[in-house]
Amino acid sequence: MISKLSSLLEDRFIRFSVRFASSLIVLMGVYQLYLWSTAQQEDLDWITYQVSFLSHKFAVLLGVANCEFSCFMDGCRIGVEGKMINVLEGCNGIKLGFVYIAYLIGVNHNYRSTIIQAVIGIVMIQFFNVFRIGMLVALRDLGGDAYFFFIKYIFGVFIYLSIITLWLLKPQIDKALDKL
Amino acid sequence: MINAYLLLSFGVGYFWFLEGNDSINLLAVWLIIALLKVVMNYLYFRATKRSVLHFGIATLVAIVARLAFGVSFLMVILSFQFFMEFNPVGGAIKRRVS
Repeated sequence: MISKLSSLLEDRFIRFSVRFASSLIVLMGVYQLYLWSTAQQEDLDWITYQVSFLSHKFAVLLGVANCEFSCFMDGCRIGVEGKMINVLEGCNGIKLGFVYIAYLIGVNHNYRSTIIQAVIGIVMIQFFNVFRIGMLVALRDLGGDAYFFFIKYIFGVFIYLSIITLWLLKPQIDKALDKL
Repeated sequence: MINAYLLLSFGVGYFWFLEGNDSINLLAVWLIIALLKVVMNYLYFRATKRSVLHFGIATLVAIVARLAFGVSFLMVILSFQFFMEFNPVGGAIKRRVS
């Protein structure tokens, strides 16, 4: 029984699955604890606030006039009065970042490389997320159906493609990190 | 896979439209969408000649991640598929013999 179990654990796919699932559970557990503690303080979590704040700055940079920004316990509202969009906790992109980190932990055995790539990944995902929300504010301001089309199809694919690009670039990043 | 996701999104949009019209209820929409995702995932694993074990583990992890933590089902499935197709450390996982 034990030998069967150990031979099963030697399978690369099973090993990846165990490492991936356990790291995802740990990361999500810590995050849920953090969300719980901010809810106890009747406060909005720092990540959602920062993503909303930067998205607001980006929308202003895109030329959205009279762009307002206000935050509550459940999230932030950005945009022109009457055309505001809600940025809730689920929009902060951190869960996608956790999946990316869990993948890195699943395949990597080099901790230094995992940490550096996790930081690069989170920054890149958040960059796309801020770009996405800022653009949504601008599209909402412009009016028309483009806003609904972009929010439903285009931006989701953008974020997924950014993660796939990071996975594809992983061997090159590993090589560059080895040289350092 | 991304194309399949786009097609699925259009399908999902249609189901939400039906739900908005009160033609079907929320639970039915949710179940149909979940079933569609699992079926499309199964078709992908069949097309790429992966074993039922691979499909089962990936789907189970994705369902648990989705239901327990609200993590994207597709992103978890993509992680497993990416590992099997392009594993950057040990190379791609062997396909089953058909």
